[in-house]
Amino acid sequence: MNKTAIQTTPPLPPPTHDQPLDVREASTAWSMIKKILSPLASLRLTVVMFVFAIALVFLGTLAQVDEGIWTVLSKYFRTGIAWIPFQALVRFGQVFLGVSPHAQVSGSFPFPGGWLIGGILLVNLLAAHAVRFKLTWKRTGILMIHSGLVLMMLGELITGLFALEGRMPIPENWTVNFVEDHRALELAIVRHVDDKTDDVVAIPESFLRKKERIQHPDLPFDVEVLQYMPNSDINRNPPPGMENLATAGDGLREVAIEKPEVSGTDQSQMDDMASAYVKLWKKGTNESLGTFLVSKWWSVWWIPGLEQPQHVTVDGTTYDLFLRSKRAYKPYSMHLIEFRHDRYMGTDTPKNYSSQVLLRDSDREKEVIIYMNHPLRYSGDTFFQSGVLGKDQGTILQVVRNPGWLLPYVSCILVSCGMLFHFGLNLVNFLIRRMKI
Amino acid sequence: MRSLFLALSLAVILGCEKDEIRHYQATRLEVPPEVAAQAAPTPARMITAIFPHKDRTWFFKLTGPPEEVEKYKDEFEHFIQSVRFTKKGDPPVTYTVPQGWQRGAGDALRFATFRFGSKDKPLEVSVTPLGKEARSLLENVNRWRGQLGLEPIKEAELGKETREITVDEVKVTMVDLTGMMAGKGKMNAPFAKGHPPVHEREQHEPAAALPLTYRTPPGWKEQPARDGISLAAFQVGDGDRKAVVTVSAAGGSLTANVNRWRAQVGLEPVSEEQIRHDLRPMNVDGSQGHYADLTGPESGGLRILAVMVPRGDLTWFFKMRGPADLVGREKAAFEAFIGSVRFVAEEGDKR
Repeated sequence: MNKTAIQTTPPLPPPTHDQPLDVREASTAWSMIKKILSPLASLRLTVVMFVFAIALVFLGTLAQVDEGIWTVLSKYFRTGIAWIPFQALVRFGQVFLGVSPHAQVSGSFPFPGGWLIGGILLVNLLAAHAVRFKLTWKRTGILMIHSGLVLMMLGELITGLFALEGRMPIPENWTVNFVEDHRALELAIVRHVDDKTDDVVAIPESFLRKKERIQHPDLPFDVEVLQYMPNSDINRNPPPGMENLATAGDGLREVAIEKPEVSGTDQSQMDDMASAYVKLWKKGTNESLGTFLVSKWWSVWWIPGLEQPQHVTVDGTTYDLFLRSKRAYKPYSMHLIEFRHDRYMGTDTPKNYSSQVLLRDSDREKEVIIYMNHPLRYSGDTFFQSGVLGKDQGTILQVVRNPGWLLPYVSCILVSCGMLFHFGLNLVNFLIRRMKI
Repeated sequence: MRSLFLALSLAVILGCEKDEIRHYQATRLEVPPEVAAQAAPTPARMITAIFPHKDRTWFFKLTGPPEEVEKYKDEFEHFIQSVRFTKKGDPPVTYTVPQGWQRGAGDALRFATFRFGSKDKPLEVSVTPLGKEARSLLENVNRWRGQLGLEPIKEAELGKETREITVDEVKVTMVDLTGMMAGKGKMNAPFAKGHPPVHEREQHEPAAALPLTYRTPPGWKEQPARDGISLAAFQVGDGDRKAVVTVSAAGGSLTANVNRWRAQVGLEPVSEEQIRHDLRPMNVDGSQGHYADLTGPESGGLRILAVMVPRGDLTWFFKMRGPADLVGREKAAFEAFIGSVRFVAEEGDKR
């Protein structure tokens, strides 16, 4: 970025004693800060980070041959350090250099992740401005371009950290008050408080992947994950030689068989259907309550009768176990009055999908129609018409909550205006010089 | 600058704190009463007689409300006692149907279905032959227990749930279970975008023995039928270019089916007269069928070859669908495949 800036501006005259911001007059503290910032403002650092960024994008793209797009996004880009498996390089060799397709290399090596590269570039850019900052109107364009870039980087950071994206499937005549993040899982332990209320303790997916004994004051029992499968099938007939880990619940009848994750290059782009064998222990003791199979296959709530919770009774209280998409409950609810799937007359070609919903908040009700390119914005969430449940039996709304959603737009406007100003100014200067000749 | 660093560190810390065990109270999802009523489990009793015979296992199953099943229990036992396997295998099994039992509508997976009893609380007897993989008694008992909302049992407890009788020197296992049968809510399961189809899993029954045989042409790869409709499926082709052959049995008019396929390859719908004019007759194991050959208008488009054979209440569909040139190359193999089809005689055919 700095490179562009420096190359596209006319060379600056060497500092002279007549300049308004004379370095000699600056305080000692400021010189100290500048001294520290100078290496951070290095153009070499910018170039090295660009090289790292290019390599990371390449490796991240290559990784999607085997891994899901969201796994890659969190493992390579939304992280400080990315651990690149050596197998990714073998993959490169297999695709481009004719390495044997059976070659396998274990292990991984650390590589700067997206957030580290982005963070250093951001610091580098700001440091460069702090060290070489010259407030002249001629540099307004450059300033605008760079502030646009800073905003874009911050926007991605805010999106990565705070944006929530999920789905809200609503069958017709149902009322739903939660959004499911189909890319994140949770093991929910649910106790019925009364006819209308559930008490939920939800263990996030990252805890399950560690395969350790999970203890927590809010959990009614300890949970030990014996096996975690990010994607699986449920089968009544276990393959020969397969040992069934389950000792209680529906796992006695059906087994989970691990499947590879749906990769980023898979055309079907189906959701991964995780399963896990969890052993439950009486809190703080070595008394087993049994090993249960929990599966996302058994958490299909929008089909009555298909949801299959596993029941555990501890000290007279019964809990339901679900391995399900991570839920975010909302203080309001959506009731689907009607879902419409209009077709062009005489054909099956879809013309329009629309959902007529009743939005119910604590003190008011509002009827709205959500259709393509006409999302509903409410309470910081944006609802887009996204899909159909079955044969027009309901709607699927995409729900996005991103506090930084405006930043990319502002950033693009800033960069565009900055470029117009900067190059326009150069053009005008050039034309004036030419006229003088 | 310092404030930016602070903001960054704070953001990273906040980001890391997201993965915590959460504890909250939530309003339970309200299922609309009509859906809940449809899906609500009802008391049910299931008496099954399991006949092992050659490489198949035959299941004679009586299902219905417990009090009704109790009334007809003896009649069902008499029916079971009348079962005889024939040596010729055509039909493979005979029995004496008690008075008042109505033969139900056809089902490609079942050998026979009977309905009887009162109108509001009807009973059903199904006769289903399954393959070798359906032999395990424990698996079958636990599957039915699952259907009735009962906890699975262990091998040692099987004795309590089953008894053995002898029918014409064949040892038959009788299983008698009572529980709560899940409602019909899931029969019409809606699928969600991105969610793998759930009906795959709903078919908990082990693979049924198809009531027909065939010879698979060389190069055709048999694969599990995954759409929930097909009873057998094959894949033909090289690399990314693939054609799919499916075998299914269903209802629906000839015109509706042909016009649906026409739409799939990009052709306009035509009248029934025109369809009948374009169809070629084709004989499949002695039954008269129709043969449709539809090619899309675009070059490199789709082509569908389909043979429809009405038999009893059902129409059998044999369909090949894929890129036009590939289907053209495989047409001879498809016709040879149709020529090799033999229907296993059903009880209804001999009536």
